[in-house]
Amino acid sequence: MAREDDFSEVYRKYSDKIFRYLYWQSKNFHLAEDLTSEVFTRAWESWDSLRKDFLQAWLFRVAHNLLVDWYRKKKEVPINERHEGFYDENLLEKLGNDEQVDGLWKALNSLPENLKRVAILRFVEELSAREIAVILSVSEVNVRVLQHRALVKLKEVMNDAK
Amino acid sequence: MRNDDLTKELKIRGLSQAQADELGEVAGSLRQIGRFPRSEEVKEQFLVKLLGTRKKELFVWPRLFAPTIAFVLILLVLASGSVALAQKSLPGDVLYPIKRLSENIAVSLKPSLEQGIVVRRSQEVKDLVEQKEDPELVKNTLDDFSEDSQKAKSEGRANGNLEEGVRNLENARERSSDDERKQIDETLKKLEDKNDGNEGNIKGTNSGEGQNGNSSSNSNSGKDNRDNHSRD
Repeated sequence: MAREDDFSEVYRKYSDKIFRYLYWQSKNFHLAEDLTSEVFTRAWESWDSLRKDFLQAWLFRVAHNLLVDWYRKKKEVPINERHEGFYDENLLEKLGNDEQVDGLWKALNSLPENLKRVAILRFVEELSAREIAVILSVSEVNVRVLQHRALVKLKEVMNDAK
Repeated sequence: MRNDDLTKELKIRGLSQAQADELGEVAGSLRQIGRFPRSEEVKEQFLVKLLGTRKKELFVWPRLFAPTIAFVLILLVLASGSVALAQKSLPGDVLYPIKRLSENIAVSLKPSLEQGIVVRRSQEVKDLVEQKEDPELVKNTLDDFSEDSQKAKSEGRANGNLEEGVRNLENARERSSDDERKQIDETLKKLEDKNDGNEGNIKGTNSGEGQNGNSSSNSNSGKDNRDNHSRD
């Protein structure tokens, strides 16, 4: 059972992060949950061959690729075919009624996609520049430049909103 | 990313302390608003579904062995069918060795079945004679009859059944050739001789008397019958 226990621990530790990354990118609660399930299903399927020292980056990379694929396919394939769809309805309601969440979404949504991704990964999930570089297949220097631009842009948007 | 680290990084990029602090505040807002947990219940539901399903898949192995299991079952069906068919076979038939093998197994499991097997041998002799089979087969089967009946008697399990065996041989004798008749007579004589030292097992055609210890009269009556057949 050690294998299952290890996986469960990883799921409990990282699934919220993956979910939030997908949620802030799409603002689609159910899609974020379905894709999170898919990420961890794939992780379990490849569990024995996964590098455990680079697990977080791997999970985010799979999440990122799944989301990109989902948008590319114009949402033709319902992702929840493989999953039963367990959703935290209380959280869904809470996020829907929270003005701050709505404000942050509007601010993030005003950013170009690459800035938005870096902002979420760097400032919400607090990943290192190196990990983000791996996830997004860019250089570490590029990540630092993008994070700066994202902050400046977000500050402008937030100030405008006030 | 901690605010101190961010401020330091931004200052390296040429921003003033005030500008770096402002951007640090933005980053702080993102962290504060952007981070929220999902319920533990949802997580557990997912884990149970995923790992529960996987656990079931561990038992996929029966499917891997399905062809072997099917093959073994087919063999069992064929084997039991062959054994059933073999029970009607006669010496010289292809299935006859299976009949003998099944008898040996049955006797080893239940020794009392030995008596029935003696009757079977005598019935085989009768059938072989009626079907005018090779006299050599008849002789071999008579030898087997002798051996089996002797064994049954010596183990005290021949009560009553040898009588039926003798009757079968006497019936066979009526339809037999000269050579076969001679062999049957020898077998019956042998049985009778050995019976002298084994009271009460052969009762001849007058059943019931042997149980009272009148074995000599029984064997005599059997002999008388055979004499009558000889005269016929």
